[in-house]
Amino acid sequence: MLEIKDLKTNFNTYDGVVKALDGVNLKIKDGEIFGLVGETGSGKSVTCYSALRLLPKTGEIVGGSIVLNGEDITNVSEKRLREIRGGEIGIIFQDPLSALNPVMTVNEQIGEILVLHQNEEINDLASEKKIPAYKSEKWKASPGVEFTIMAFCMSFISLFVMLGQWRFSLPFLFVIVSMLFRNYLQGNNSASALDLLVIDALSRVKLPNPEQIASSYPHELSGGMQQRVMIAMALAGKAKMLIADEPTTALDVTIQAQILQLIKDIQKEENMSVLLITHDLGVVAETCERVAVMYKGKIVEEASVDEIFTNPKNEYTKGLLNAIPKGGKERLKVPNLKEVEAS
Amino acid sequence: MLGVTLITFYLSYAMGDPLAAYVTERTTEEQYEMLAEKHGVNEPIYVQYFTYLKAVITLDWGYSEVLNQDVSEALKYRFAATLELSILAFIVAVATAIPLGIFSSIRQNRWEDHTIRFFALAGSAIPIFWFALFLQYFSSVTLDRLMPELNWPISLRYDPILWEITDPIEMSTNFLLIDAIAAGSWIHFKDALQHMILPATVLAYSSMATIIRLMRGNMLDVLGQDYIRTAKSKGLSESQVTYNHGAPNAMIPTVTLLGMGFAGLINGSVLTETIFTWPGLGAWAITAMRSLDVSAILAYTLFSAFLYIIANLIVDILYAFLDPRVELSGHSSVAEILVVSLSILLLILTYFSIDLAVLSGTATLVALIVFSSYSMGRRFLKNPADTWLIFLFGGTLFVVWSILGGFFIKISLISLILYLGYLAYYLDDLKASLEPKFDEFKRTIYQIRKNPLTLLGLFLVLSLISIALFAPWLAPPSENQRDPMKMEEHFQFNFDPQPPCYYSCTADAGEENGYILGSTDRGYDIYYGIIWGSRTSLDVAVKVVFTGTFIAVAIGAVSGYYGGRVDDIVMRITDVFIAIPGLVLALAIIAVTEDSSIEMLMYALIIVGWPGFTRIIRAEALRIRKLPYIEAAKASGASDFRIIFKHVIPNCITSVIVIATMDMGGIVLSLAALGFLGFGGGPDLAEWGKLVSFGQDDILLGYWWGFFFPGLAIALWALGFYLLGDGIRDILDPKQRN
Amino acid sequence: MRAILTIKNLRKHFPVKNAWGTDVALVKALDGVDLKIEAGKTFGIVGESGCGKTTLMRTLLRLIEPTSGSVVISEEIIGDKVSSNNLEELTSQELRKFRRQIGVVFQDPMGALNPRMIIKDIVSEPLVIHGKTDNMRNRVIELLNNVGLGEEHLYRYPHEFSGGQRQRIVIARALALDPKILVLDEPTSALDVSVQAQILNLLNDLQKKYNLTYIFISHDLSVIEYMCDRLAVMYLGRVVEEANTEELFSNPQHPYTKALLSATPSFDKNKEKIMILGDVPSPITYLDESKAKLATEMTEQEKLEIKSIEGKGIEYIVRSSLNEVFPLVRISGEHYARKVK
Repeated sequence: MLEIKDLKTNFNTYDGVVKALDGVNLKIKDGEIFGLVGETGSGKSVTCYSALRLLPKTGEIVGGSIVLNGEDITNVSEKRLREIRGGEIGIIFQDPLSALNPVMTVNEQIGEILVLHQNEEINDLASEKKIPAYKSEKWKASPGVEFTIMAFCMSFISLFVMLGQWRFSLPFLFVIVSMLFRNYLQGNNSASALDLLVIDALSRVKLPNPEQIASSYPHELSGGMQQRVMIAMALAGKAKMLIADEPTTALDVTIQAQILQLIKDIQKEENMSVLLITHDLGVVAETCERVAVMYKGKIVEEASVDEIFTNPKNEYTKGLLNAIPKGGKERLKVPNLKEVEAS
Repeated sequence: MLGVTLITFYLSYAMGDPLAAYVTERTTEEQYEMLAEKHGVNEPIYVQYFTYLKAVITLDWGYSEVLNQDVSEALKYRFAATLELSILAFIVAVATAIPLGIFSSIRQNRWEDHTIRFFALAGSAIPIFWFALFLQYFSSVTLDRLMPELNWPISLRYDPILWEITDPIEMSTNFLLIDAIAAGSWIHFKDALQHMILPATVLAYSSMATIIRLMRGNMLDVLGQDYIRTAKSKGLSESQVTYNHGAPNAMIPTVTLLGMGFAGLINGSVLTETIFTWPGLGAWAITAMRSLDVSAILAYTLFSAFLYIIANLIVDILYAFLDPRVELSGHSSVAEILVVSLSILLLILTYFSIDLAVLSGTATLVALIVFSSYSMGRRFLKNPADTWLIFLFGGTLFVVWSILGGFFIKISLISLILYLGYLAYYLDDLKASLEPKFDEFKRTIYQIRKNPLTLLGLFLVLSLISIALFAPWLAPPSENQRDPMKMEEHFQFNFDPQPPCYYSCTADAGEENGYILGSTDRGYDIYYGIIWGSRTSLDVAVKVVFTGTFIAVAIGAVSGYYGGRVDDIVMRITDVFIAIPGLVLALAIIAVTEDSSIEMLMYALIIVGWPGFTRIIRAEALRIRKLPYIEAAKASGASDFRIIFKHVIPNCITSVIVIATMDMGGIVLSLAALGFLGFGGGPDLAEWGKLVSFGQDDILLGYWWGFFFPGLAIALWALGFYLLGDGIRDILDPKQRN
Repeated sequence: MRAILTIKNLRKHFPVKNAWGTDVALVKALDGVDLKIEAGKTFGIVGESGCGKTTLMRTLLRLIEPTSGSVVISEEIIGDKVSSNNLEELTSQELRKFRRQIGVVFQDPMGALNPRMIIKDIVSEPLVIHGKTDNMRNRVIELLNNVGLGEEHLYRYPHEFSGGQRQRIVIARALALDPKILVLDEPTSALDVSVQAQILNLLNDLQKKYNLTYIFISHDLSVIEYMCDRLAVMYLGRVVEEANTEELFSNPQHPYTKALLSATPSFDKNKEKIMILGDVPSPITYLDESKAKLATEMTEQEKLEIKSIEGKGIEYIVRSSLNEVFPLVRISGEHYARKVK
């Protein structure tokens, strides 16, 4: 599915060039959950951003290639890259609240990706059901806002009347009248094809009341729901591959278990490939089939999950596994990085 | 609002005899008594206040002697003129500034960005009046020479011959553009628009500059957010990401500050209208102030406060519209609601009966005083450690007094010596801490080198300060001059302005043959004025900024750190001051005290400047007090005193330095604006703004140097400090470290 | 058992105000917590975000005042001449004495260090506050050596250190006054596993060396299991189960504890899985009686989730079933839990 060969990425900083990736090799097969583990600064997130060319301005890919389904996408055009992002590879991030745009409703945010990658489906559905493909939303604000607009218009009207320029109060009067009678003015329009598809995408991630969630803003949802919305968004473009960058780090363990279960279910249902990036070896052990361990911009070990936990080969992997408290009170073994670097 | 009326009333009370307007030489003692009776002069002050309040509510705003007209009447007509101009300017400013800000942010640190940033900073730094004069000169002299048939108008709202004699149309709304459309007359429309373009450009440019800078900064913040990365990962194009996801989010903080921008517009309209003789409120206010027309000044102050409050109301609504996370209701406290409802109650009572209002008002006031002194006393009794607050404010007052009293330098020298002694005592520490400090310093130098605009600012600031320091050598005063700060009139040319002669006026030829940068029509040497004017600017700016900083840090840090009721009260007080546009308030103070000495200007600028500064420091303190290290210090038993001085203030220092640097420029701009309007500390004091106003008189004759050179000095000064402040902000911003 | 701190029926309710400034609801961050903290041992408090563990810490340090209840301090901490053993009734002098005996380590080591102070000033701050300025420099160096840092770090700023080193500095500061109790609020959750191992080892060493009592707050059960002697599981402001660590991990009684234990990712693939379904309920309690109680019926979300995992052989509990409050009963010995029907 996705193959990364000898990928090298540099960051230009005040202290000079930092080699974030120093020859990374990865191969993710169709329909598997692949774990990428490493500590802070090991380059695991940079790998996924490099793969989709989402690096910040200071970052730069200096070598290697990225092959997606046999197509080399290292140097493809911006246009093709945009088709791949969201259309072929979906991505979810660590903190769902900051990863969702706070001023757009869930409907708008998922709708956007559908318009980009599922335009034909929208039109098909629209012609099939004889409903509009897209629609403008009803105008409505929160009660506080509406009250203030009213008060504001009233005060303007009284100001102008006092000044003897009553003609100027007409537009404000118009606003008040149209606010009062807007239900009659707007009429009732039914859901569009786009709305139906958004609701469909939301119910795929097992969200209750998808209609209600679609019309709410991210901050109105709980952390678990937000991450579900993120997943729905990443999958809405019918991507065949999902990159999950620390998807559960910001969540509680119980919610984490739900989200991981969801990812596993969806992966099975749709036979997708998943690249799960995490620092938590336990998450990898529960979710993944194969795993790669990163250290200082390099993959130090790659194996199946069972093998890596029962019989790690690399010094660093061993150190990492030993550092985790696993019941018992014996002193924790701290990985000796000097030895690791030597080996 | 009630607070604003208190200030205006206090001003009117301080102005002295309110009956002067009605008194002529023939007024007898008896008539005077009658007038006094009628206007309630003999009543106690608080009764007068409520009488005044009732007049304000019933829109009886007094009688303007300048216009020979009721103030309310005058307001009605002139309001339309000002509003038409301001709205046009505001629309132009917002419509151009927001795209420019966005564009500049996506080209960050490329030449497009540097150009736009420079353009924006220049807009803030160039004095409005100078720019206006420049445009006037350009269209009346240069353009007239190139295209004489154009005859571009440079004053008034309309061509009186066309509108009043040849083809009068009905002016029902007083908004000329709308009237012209209503009458269906293209000639009138064109004429009105032509008259409007120059003043609107001037007004728009200055507020545009602020909006560009805000928008650029906010965009840069937003573009670093996670959801922008999400949007990119969806496959949206660069422009879709910027305009659908970036811009709406960046608009939110921008909009919250548009209210401030509108205040700037009202400030600017005072100057613009005066220069273009636009018959609006601003020009009227200046006329009123020059002739000390009490009712008019107060009415104008009150009215601009009204406008500002309405503008902020619009902004609040817009804010709630743009940001779904904000609910308009739910952030006001009991105290706030109590105060507002009490004021409304008082206003209603006043409307019906002054006596009743006086009674209840007094009762409330007494209750408030008793309550606050009781709670304060209880606080100090319960928590004796808090008494240091009294010392803090006492200390601040002492410092302010020392700055204004002129012995600040001695005090700072003494404290410097004490500090050096302290350092010497802990010499080992000093030595050891040099290396990390040096590392920081190297990083700073590296960042300055990367940022050419900051270097330019530093260069400008240093050269202007050295000009001020070396003034006696650069422009030696003549032997018989008693005070070098006062410019000398030269009679040789019968007060005819002399053109600049640059380097050709050799020393042996002397002044008789000309002036390096020309002279004004009263024979003042512009070169001399500029050189010595820099001393005035430096003196005022340093004093005002230092005083403002001390007041703001003391009040802001305490108010932000403690929060609660103290904070509520401080914020309401600053609200009152901020509601009145700065220049207007300063003008009113100067006009009312009838004292335009440089000291009075300084006091006025301090009164105008501290509330804004305090609010920024307070916001910083509010942010810092929630950080874990404050909690850690509290948990180990640190006193509030220690936390404020060791943790809160040092972490505010970044913004203090930035604002203070910016203010060094801003204060000089305000000072020059006051000077330009004729309040420049005496007729012959070397002051840049006043020099520009001397040059203004000859502009139509083509004598450009009179306004050009002093204005350039102001612009360079402000530009230097703005660039430097902007650069310091970038350098000290922790986000820039990586 | 020698209790160094006894928490009795501690409540902390934050009022939620409406636009008119009247209270409409309460956030019951702590709703009747009883704990006994034993001297020289590590007491763990575990729970998910919003369960009240941080509020408990802040109340213990008296950074906030509790709504009701008391914290009784044993005499060995502040000496015998105190006006009251209740933390809330101490005079400010006694509170200062108490604060000498209790140190605190925060979750985010960067935020816990003032970025404008050098390490020497940061570590010596508690000494200065409590007037122990004799030979301060040597004391600071000793403290830094204790946590594995050295003299060369004295004049550096916090941003020059790595996350683990910063946490060491925070620990050094917490130990400056030779406290008897150390409150550790998620001390390793911002750190990588290898650094976490170093910090945990360091904490264990220090505990042995100075005979410290730890109050260890975390959401990470593997760390809790490693560090703690006794532990309390909190849910929505209440302790739902309290027992010695081994007992609790081998014989969990409360359904929430069971689910929490099984939800923690582990390497054991055959571990019994109990999913906990539904979202964390909001801790807001409305004062209005009709809205006051948390619904114990299943929510839409829970029904949907049950449907999706049915037939997969996964055991589950639903959150709404946890909303009813049952009394804490003794299971055996020192093991207490809230029994659910």
